[in-house]
Amino acid sequence: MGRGEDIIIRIATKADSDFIIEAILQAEKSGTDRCALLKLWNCNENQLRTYLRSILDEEIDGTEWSIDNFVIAESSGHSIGAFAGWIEGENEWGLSSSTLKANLMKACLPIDVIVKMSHFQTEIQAVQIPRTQGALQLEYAYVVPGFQGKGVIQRIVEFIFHRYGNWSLAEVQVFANNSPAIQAYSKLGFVRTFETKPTIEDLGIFPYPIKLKMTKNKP
Amino acid sequence: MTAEEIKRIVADAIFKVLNHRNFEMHDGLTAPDVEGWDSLHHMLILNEIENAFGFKFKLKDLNKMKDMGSLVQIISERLPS
Repeated sequence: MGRGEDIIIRIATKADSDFIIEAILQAEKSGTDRCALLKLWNCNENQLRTYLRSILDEEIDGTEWSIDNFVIAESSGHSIGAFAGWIEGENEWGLSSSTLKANLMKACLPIDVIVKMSHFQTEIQAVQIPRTQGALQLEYAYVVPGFQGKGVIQRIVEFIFHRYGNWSLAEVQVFANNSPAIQAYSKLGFVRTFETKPTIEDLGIFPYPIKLKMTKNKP
Repeated sequence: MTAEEIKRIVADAIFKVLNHRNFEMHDGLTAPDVEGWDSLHHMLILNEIENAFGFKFKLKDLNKMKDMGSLVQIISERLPS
């Protein structure tokens, strides 16, 4: 693997918060300059980082906004990649990740941000794909420039597969323009099983108007 | 305040956000049973309920809300006896 030979994969800790926030920001952009959370939360990048930190500080498992659900790739003491994984609905409260995320936003965002976000309901729904209860979910893949294309995501995903050893179905959602991610997931055995329809005018909120669901059954 | 009185106030909060009353306020009622009660409107409905009762839910309260019965129970516990 060349430069990637010394890579170690581990579960994230609170000390990884800054890197996880960066991973969320970059993954949200999906290789473009569009970050949906900036638009939906009507804020600048500094405010967005503050909001995400307060959400991560709540330590609520079962969504992509949980430090414990993140796995980190590290090389020579530096974080080089991240990916979140969890079993949908398997958490202390038995709630779906979308409900947990709504609760986190309700608890951590000012009400005027939530009210403004609700104005984008149609746009949000257009790229929403339901997650399967009990399925392993993967979200927010990120590898720092210089380590991309070196199999880091594959290493992290294999770690996540091992971490949740009893999974039978794995799901990942990706914007249809993100060819490198789609290729990486295909190499791991994921196949396209669903795509959203671009039924509305593209308002420039999301990186791309079409989102895919790719799934993999445990061999 | 009785459970029925709490439910009436909650029903008004739901109406204020969703603009319809096409639901029955029974303990087993859940968000998917009510047209338009998605995760975005969930946050707005909770905000209206907070305004109506004059307190803010804690995150641990929000995560305990499984259905109307648990919501009423949580509100009841937060109100002065």
